Amino acid sequence: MSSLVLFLISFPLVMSVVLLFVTHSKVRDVIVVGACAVVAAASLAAAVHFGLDGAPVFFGLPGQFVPEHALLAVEGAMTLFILGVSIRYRRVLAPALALAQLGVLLWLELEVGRPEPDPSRLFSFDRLSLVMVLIVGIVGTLICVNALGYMRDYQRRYPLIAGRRTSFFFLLFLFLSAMFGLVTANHLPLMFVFWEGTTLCSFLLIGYTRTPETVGYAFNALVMNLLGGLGFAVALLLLSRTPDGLDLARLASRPAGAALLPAVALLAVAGITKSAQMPFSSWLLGAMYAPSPTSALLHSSTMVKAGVFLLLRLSPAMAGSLVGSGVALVGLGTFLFVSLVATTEHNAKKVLAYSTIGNLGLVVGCAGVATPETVWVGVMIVIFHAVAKSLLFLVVGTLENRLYTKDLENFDTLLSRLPHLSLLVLVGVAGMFIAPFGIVVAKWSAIRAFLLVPGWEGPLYLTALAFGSSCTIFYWAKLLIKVLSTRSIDAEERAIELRVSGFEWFSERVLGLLVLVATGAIGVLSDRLVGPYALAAFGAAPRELLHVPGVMVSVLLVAVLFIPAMAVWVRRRGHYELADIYASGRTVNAAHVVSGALDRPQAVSLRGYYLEGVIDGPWVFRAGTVACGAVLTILVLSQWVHP
Amino acid sequence: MSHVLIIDDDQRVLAANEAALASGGYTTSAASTADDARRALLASTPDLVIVEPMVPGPYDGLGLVRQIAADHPKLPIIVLTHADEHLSAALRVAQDRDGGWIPAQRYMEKPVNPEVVRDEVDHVLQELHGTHS
Repeated sequence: MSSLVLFLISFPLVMSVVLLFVTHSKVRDVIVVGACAVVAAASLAAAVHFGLDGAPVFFGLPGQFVPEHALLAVEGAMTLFILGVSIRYRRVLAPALALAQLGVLLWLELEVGRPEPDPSRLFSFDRLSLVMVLIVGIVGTLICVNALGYMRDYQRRYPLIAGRRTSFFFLLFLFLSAMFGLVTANHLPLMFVFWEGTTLCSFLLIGYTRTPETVGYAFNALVMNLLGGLGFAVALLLLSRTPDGLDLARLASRPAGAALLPAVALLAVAGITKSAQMPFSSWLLGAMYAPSPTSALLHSSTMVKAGVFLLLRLSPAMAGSLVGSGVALVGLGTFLFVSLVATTEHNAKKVLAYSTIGNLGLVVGCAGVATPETVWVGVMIVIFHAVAKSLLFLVVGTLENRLYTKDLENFDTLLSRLPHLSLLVLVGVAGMFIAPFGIVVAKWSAIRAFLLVPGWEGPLYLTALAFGSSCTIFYWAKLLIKVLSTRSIDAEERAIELRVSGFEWFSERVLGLLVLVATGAIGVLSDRLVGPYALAAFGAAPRELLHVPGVMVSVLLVAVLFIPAMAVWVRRRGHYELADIYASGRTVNAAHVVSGALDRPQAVSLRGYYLEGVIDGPWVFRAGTVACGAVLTILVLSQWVHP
Repeated sequence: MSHVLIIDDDQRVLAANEAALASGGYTTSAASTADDARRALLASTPDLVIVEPMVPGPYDGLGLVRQIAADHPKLPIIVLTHADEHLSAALRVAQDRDGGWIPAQRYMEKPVNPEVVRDEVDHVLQELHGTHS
């Protein structure tokens, strides 16, 4: 096991350096596809080797090497890099935070009497690690393959943007390496270095085009994640003074006592920043201005998943504490607020971004509630969200490169214009909100899990879940109907889909298939992987979950696939033209103005219904940021006032 | 109010894009040949030009775009052209290169929804000036 995990960390690292020197695009294609195949195979091998019934394993580096000083050196190098970039772009906050982090780590290094790390427990591998390794190894590599085709079109569309595709693929593979390290590290300072590695990679990927706009978003992401990183670093310092020291598995093995809770609270803040929960959500919204593979990677399989991974890991330590309640409030509050905001949005990538933050909010909330049931729900959402959301981001990216737009209003009659891509959109959207796909099953189970929470908290969480979920249905159904509408098209429009690259077709079709396969295998995932993980983490098996029999899943899947099939059939039967808008008994004129009540001229348009007139999106977002920020501040301060 | 020059010999495309831009508050003028385009650009410089490089004239491939960019280095250009079947192998290689393969802000292949063309004009002018019409 140890050699496989170390291979998964080191191989993408080596490949990233190799790709830095490959300038010929055909050679790059071959290397990227080959490397992705190796990484995906190695992560599957890890799954087979570990076995679905395997017990957690702990291991170290060859020769019992403890890389204490090496870690500090890497951290120092990253700080130097941030300093350099910040001087170039004249930024103050990012270098200040980076230096503060380095200062805390130096303090930790010089701390007298701190426990020596156990060289045989630097890494660990359990079912949660396995889930994450499979997500990074399969979804992450599919995104890299997709990027080969996407970046070519992107470069063509923006002729003046300097490509730097060598550094783009360098960063993608570096990101995968850091993620593999992060989800298998058990020694917390080791995890911290990988954690900071993902921060740096995401900063560089978001700022890839180096336009003033994206540089701004990149620094925003950097500052927020460094802030979380600073919390992580201080937590390391606090933990180094406790008997269990910096061993994550030991820390997460039981509810944390008063001595450990301040550190757990700070680690939770780090997880909340990384998973883009309010008040730190804005960095992930900025990330969607980067090329789509970056968004897909950050939103589905890496970065934000690192945040929820840490919170799910720490869930048993937060159980029954004020920290747990605070995290749950922040997560579910974020879910409710961003779901409300998403109903007003018609930029497709932004809707996807809000949906990501919302779903992660649900996972964070589940981690904070900290029962075996909610952790089961959280891990299930992590799995299904990873496949469905990466599919959606990649398909929307492909659509954007072909239709030059990401406005939902321009996705009308997509089923006629780009039928194959539309089917993939439908699978992705169905994966997000239609039964029997995993997220719906998980949300249904969340209702039951929250009902088991005693006191006032259960109903409160349930309310946030109910109202947030109804908003998600509103925007997903709207997208579904947009895509499903049909009209007659000409040969020129039909040719658009033929220009999509093979790399994009391959990765998106495999992801589409994965959404279906994962749904079909939901029983196996629950019984063999996620259920046993919850049992191992809490010492109690999850109760009252929704068990969907395999036959039922199959029937529902066929039913769900039947709808688009019907639409295609209806479309093929005859030719339909979009009629002019007809309103209030008088046909609309060419300028789309109609005489309304009292004969007042009124502009009309045929478009989706957005709640922008009902909900003030920016205001709700600000309100959520303030509310969740207040909860988080109280959460951290309370740990210091009552040590 | 920003002015956009559209160079295209397909009257349907011209009419649709002019209507969409007008609804976005832009003034437009049109040219259907490379000569018309040259004359229009000499008479007055627009805020942005949308070019179909395949209009009748003495230029090969993207020659018209390069000529306009050379004559008016500060003029933002959106290339709106037929799909790349007609492109030479050399141009395909150039398209695959990292950045700077043609002196234009955007390269789009037809058919493009006129409203999307208008949005793209909005974006380009916003990027360059921080404002639009």
